[in-house]
Amino acid sequence: MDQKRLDQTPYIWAVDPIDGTRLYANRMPMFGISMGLIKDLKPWLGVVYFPMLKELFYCDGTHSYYVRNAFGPDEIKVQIAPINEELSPRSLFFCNDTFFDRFYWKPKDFHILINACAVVNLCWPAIGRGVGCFLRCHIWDFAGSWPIIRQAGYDFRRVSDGRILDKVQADLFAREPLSWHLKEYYLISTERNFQEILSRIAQR
Amino acid sequence: MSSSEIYLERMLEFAREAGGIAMDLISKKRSRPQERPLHYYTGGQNDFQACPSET
Repeated sequence: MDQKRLDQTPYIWAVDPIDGTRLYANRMPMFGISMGLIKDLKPWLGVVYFPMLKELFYCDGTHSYYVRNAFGPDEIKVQIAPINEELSPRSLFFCNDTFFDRFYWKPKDFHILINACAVVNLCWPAIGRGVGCFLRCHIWDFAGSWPIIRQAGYDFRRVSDGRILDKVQADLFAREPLSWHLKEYYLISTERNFQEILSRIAQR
Repeated sequence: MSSSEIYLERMLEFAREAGGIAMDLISKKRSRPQERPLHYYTGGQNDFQACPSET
């Protein structure tokens, strides 16, 4: 992965056939098929499908949609609109277990829920299930959800400096030992909630 | 159709097919025939016996 080569790459496909393999292996419904098509290094098209839940999220490049009973005769499609939810005692923030390697949570007013699935962490807040998530993952973990959550008003903001991840850049990803893996942790939230959520996260 | 519509259609098709395969596999796992007899504990240390055959 070098920037010169990336700059000459019009499209990047990032596919995760099963995101949430641990949950899938345990027959739990929170796993998904994720596909993202990145155009000119920016998120463009995305599809995330949860077959056991029959829920589909996708972005057509302009708008994003949430579909219940997906691919069935009675499917219901709703356009995803920007969410501007205020944090409250019922708010939930998602993370995975690796979060605790370097951070800890200062519980106050709202709480965390640990999912072992990046696409759940990313897609659910786009329809109001939770207020955001915390991730450091491979590109195929987030590429499908990336354009979808942006339509809901969410962005990836780097924990260290708040910089928004809005395009693929070589220096943001590790080469070794995990290629296409984000070097740093990102907090995914709306702009209004970013600082508030960040204030609950403390480094070990 | 525009390129985005064509790509999206293929992506949705892939998702539907992959989801179907995932569900088939998980269903097969659930209904996999018992390969070894079930054992039950009869009281003593290392005292397990095969359950009477259900067949």
